[in-house]
Amino acid sequence: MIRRLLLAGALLAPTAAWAAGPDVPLPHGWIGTTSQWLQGLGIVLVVLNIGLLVWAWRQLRSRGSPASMWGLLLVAVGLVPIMVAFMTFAHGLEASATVASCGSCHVMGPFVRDLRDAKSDTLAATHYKNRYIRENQCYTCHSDYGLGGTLRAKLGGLGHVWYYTTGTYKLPIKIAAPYPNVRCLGCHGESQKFLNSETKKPIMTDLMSGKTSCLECHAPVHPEQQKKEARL
Amino acid sequence: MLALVFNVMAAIVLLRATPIAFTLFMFLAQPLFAAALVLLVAVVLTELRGRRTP
Repeated sequence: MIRRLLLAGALLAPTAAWAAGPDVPLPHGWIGTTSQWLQGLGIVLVVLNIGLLVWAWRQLRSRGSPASMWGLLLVAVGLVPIMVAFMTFAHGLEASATVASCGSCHVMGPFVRDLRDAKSDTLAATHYKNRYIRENQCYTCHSDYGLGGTLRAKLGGLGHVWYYTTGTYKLPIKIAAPYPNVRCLGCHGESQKFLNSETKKPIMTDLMSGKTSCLECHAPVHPEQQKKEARL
Repeated sequence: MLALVFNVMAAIVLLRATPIAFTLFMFLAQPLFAAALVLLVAVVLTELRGRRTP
């Protein structure tokens, strides 16, 4: 049993380490994020489950009747897949919020390229290069706060996948609804720099109510799109 | 076989979680797994009923 646990640990550790990016030095004693461990554990469980299924299949063929191996079948077709489903769903949900995920559709290419361009002065690039938002920059700005915001963003994402796969999107890509101030205020709203800003004090009420959009002064957020460029 | 397809699709999401792969996992792989489980439970119940009625 202990040998099996050690083997599982030996399999998991490199998988979690492989999932971590090599770009930035990690703190001493770093053992990965929850998402990376879910991913590593998920991969191990998938391998285990495929092994169990193949084993069960061979046993079925040699014995002819499944009556003597209900336990094995319930583990291979019931218990382990439930764990795999949980790990995969959790990892997929986490991964679908990353910039890489948004950039995986080529129509998002110009936006992501500008976001990562250190020389760009667009609002999105400024937030990205200075790490005003530490990770999942697209998702953070394009989803409302709280559970309702997450659900709406995920449902919206499903719509995006559908439009992209079926090719029923229109260029240039436009935001579906006017950008609400509340997404900016979620971070900036309680910042002392923002609250004590002399330029913002006269319009603070309008900013808080959304009567005046933050983007009226803080544009451009993304680069201007050309129809041709967005198709590249 | 259904559970195997489910595992392959899960492996794709775990190794490279693109939006399309994740959507397919949610709406295709998970129902396949559910179908496999329902079929297994049905077979178990049929077998048990067969044992009770001689």
